[in-house]
Amino acid sequence: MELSGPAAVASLSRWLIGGLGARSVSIRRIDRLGGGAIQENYALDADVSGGTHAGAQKLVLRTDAPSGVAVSHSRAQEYALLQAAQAAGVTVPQPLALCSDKAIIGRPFYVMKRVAGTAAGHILVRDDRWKGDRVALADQLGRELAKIHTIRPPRGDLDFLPLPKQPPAREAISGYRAWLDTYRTPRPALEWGLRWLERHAPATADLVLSHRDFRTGNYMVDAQGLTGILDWEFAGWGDWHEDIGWFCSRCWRFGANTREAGGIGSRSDFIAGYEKRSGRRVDAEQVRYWETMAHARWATIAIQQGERHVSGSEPSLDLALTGRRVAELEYQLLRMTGS
Amino acid sequence: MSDRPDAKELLEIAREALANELLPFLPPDKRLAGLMVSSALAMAARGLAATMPPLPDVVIADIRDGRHDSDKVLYEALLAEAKARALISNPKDVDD
Repeated sequence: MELSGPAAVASLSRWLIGGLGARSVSIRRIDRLGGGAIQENYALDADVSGGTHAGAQKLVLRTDAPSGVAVSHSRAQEYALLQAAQAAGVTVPQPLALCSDKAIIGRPFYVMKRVAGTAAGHILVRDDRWKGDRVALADQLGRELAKIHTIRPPRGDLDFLPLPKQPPAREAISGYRAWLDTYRTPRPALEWGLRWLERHAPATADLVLSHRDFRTGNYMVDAQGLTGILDWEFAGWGDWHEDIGWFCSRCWRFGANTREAGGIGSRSDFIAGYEKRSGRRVDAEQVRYWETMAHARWATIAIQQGERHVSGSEPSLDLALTGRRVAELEYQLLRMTGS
Repeated sequence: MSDRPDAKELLEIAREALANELLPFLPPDKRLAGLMVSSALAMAARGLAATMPPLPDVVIADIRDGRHDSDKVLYEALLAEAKARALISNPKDVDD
């Protein structure tokens, strides 16, 4: 079902009356938003009468893309994560209503408030209009991550998240190897990196909710600063250093390599924000380990994304170019694992 | 023997035409797609011009079992091969 078609719009309007607890809902605009290889996002403007959301509402509707990555959560699970994050005080777009009924628009979806700004990494690291105060932004992102990490197992509302059966680093390595065993071409450079990661894997971990894609490109910023942490589809119980390593890793700096915190700020400002809010002391060696893991993980995902193009199932220039990023990821992974 | 311009030269002039004659006139929402096309053309041209070192012949299970943990020769060969690929796909990210 096309979301812009009149039948879908009428069906969605009727559903939103119940979802938002309104008397009436009139949709003025639905536009597909860019980005999202795994989910589709639509900007939705609606006039709402009655209820706690009365007024002109700027919303986002998030639903599945035709071909998703197997490891990502369902929309219902992502909605539960968003609610848990909001309850923990994390700056997120306010989740408003979840629809698991495929009869409404053909796919499950949820609706959240639309936050202002841009998430585009290549803009955030280069364009001064969006930088706000880079020190404050790095500090705030550190604090936000610390708030996410206050969510800890066990949690009834998040019981769909499996607990790791072995230390998280070892579980990750096993997962990447299992996938590589199914892939048609051996990847010795990636295998070298995984072996190094296995030899240096931390034996234990203090488990927290790891966002697992906490990086520039997945949060919104306007001229004043942070407006929302997005993209919760990979979150799971993990080692709290993992998100710090992913955020600081060279492969997520969008070319702004001297600003080690996501290409937007200094590592020390980001870590200081995290330490102040969490009360933890961040071990630089452990972060370095997870930065190395970040390269192995992103290389594996990039092969998978490229394969969606190469297999012919989803011809796409974007996916094709992502597939070719494997080279730089393997090269940096090797540089980090020489001894 | 191949006719001139050869494949690499064709890609290079196509990219120049894209940059000078098309990109400036693309609407903002198509600019990223234009840049991606330009990037793919540049990558293909670099790939045609490159001489690749051989990928070392190694058994993956041996890497996993730790038989190459101290194998400097293998490491240097993997590094050289990955670097050559990275110089094609994203030379800006390769430090010396």
